[in-house]
Amino acid sequence: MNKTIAFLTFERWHNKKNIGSSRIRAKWLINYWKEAEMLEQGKEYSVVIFQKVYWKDYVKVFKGIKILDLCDPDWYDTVPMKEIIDNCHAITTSTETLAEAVRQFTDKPVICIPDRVDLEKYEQKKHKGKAKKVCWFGYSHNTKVLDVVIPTLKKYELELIVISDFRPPYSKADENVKYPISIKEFNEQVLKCDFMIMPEDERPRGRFKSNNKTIISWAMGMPVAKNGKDLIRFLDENERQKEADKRLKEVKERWDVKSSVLAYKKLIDDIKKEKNI
Amino acid sequence: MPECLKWIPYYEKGKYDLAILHIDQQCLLDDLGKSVLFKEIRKQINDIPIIVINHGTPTYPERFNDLAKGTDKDGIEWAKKEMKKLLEGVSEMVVNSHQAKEEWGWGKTIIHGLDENEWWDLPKDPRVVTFISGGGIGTKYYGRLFFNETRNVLLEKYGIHLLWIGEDKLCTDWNDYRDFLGRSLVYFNPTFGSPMPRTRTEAMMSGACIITTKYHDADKFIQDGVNGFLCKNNPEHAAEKIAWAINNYRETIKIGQKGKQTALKEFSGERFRKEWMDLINKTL
Repeated sequence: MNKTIAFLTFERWHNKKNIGSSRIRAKWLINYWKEAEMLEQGKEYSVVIFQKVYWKDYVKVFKGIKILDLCDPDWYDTVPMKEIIDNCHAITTSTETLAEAVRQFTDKPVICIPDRVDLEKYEQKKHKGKAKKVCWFGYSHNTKVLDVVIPTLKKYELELIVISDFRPPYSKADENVKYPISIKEFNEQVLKCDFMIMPEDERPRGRFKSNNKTIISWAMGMPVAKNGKDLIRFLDENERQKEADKRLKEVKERWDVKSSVLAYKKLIDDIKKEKNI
Repeated sequence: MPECLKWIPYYEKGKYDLAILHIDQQCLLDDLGKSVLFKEIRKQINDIPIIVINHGTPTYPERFNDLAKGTDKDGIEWAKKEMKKLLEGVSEMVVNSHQAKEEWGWGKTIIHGLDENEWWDLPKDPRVVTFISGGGIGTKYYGRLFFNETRNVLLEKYGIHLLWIGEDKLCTDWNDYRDFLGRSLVYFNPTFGSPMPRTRTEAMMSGACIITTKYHDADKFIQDGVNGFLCKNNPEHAAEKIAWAINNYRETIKIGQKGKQTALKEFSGERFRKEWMDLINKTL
């Protein structure tokens, strides 16, 4: 099959490994999109999606359909993006809050294609007994959000496992697991816990963040406690199983990455119609 | 350098009609090179009228208080007296703002002007920048302390980075600078003592929305929320205004455009040249 659609990912552009946004917003989509692949330099494509990549020179000379995909308010870090936006046909974002902000900079279509999940990657938890262990995963610089829940975890004698990139490990965790690990190991680490703990991120940029950690957890049959009330409820096995079943159903209906592929296909068709291609 | 200017290695009596020399308050300090340069050149020129452009103000507590053996006020009084002595016999002292004239107690204000076409109003990236001097004593004068505190609050409270041109962003040449400034949505001016910072005017000409301290006449041409913003000498207040501007792109663009209109009127190169020609004609 001739691949005509390419993703240029943040991970590839910066020569990094295991970048969450590149996995969630590009690699998983490619699994279900037969015309799409990771960009190979020098190869001709009809569509290029720049996943958090601000390659102005390429954007300016590439004549095909160009989509800039954003998952962070990188302009807050003074990353120049206006010229890139002006040279793209559309912008996609991971959250509606991000889309609203970007709409101020342009009259081009700005479409929210939320973070979704590749359901085939994860196994599901079967809940048994009173909860003993909880889990959080993500980048180390985000572990600050856990500070507020530590006293409550102690009160209910819950152990905390943190899976992070160890920059540095979280000092208040009972166990730290170093990322990157394989999906299999990730499944094992998470499923030995009883539920996930994910307090709201109230930092200034928290409002732009997607719910990807939550939906990945739900895809694994793991309830997600956002506050003390949730935490108390999820101590009980029946409550956890009830929540897990409900959320897994929701993930299958709303958060399957195949829906994101359909959203991209529609966007590309709309651009083609507009451009009369 | 414009063609009408040329470097000369020494002064020749009888060859020129007028001398225009530059100083600032630091020229009152014998241990600085600036002071030596002015004094030595001044000594050579005694046959033609001299106009001195004084780019500074008497505010320099870091050095003047010690020399005056007193408070900030004593330091200012010392500087005023010393400047009078230093400029004895010159035809005119030109200063950059009305406040500077008031502070020195004499002189003629000629507010700078720029040529509109030299500044590039380009599509704006939603970012905030500052360009203040990074060198020399003058933490308060240049607003470096205020800048740093505002930068911390802005990042901590709003998650927004404030970029310092010359420190965080090094421009390769003048075109790079004009391009970068011309694509910046917001320009923050934190200065306290600097009379009429030129970079603020350059930013206004480039269509950036200005957020500035009120000092040195800024409150005479910036109407808060209309053609820019005036901030209190308070980092929380400045950060709040900057965050608003970054998060309200379209309104900020409009305010920046109004600021540009103000700059074209108040800081025009034509007006600037006329005021200079009037002064030169009067002097000659």
